[in-house]
Amino acid sequence: MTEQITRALEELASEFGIQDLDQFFQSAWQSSDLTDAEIVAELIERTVEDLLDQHFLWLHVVESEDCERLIPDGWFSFVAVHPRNRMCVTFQDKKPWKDISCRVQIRTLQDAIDAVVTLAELIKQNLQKEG
Amino acid sequence: MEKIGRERIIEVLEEVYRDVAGDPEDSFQSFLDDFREVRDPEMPIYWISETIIGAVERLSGRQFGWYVEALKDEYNFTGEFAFICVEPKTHRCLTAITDDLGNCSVSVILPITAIDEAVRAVQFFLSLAVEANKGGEM
Repeated sequence: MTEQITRALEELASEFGIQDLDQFFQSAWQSSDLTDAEIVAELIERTVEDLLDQHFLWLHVVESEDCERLIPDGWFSFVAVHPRNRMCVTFQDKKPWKDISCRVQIRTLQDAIDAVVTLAELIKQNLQKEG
Repeated sequence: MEKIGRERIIEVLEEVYRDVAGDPEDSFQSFLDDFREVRDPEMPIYWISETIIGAVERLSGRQFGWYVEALKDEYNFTGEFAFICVEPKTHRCLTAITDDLGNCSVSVILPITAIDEAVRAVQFFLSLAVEANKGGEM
């Protein structure tokens, strides 16, 4: 699965003119320009869709340590909703609280692969629960 | 759920706001007036959305999953908030909408800079809660 995800990430990244994917992930979270972090989020979302062969409605939050300069800290939160039945497919019952988002850290290519796996697994579980 | 009047909604907004702000003498209406006039970026803007959410949950007697973001222009908060509301039992995203052109969104954006807008926001979320209770198509 890792190879499949890496290939999908590389293919999508080439659309943005990104050559060295690992280098891109390593620099994106430290860049004061939020654009790169936004691209990271989009790459993750589209790779998850590619893997599950389904489209979702997404909302992502690029977290930042410094709320004034808004430099990303490598943490992202993703909310995905099924476009037809409107189910929140990133919903998690993490006792004692419930969470509508999935929070992942993406600072390297390996983190990105792990994030795709985490999101895809969670979405798949939720889709199965909902029949 | 019976229809809840404007006065009752304002009463609950004020109750919740006092809990949120931790000040029994403070008022939600005056906080909104201050925000509208000053637009101080240091103001605890999320007190507004916390108050709305608290009022919705208190009046509906239910809890929901929320995501909120206070929107900004280049420098300041605009007084608009993006909300996502999810029903925790069915996982249905109550704020997912499709417009006339077929564009989909998971969030709704509501302006909350005055007490009337706050009341409208609460009424809107209560109407979503009613739909969620029905469990039918929205």
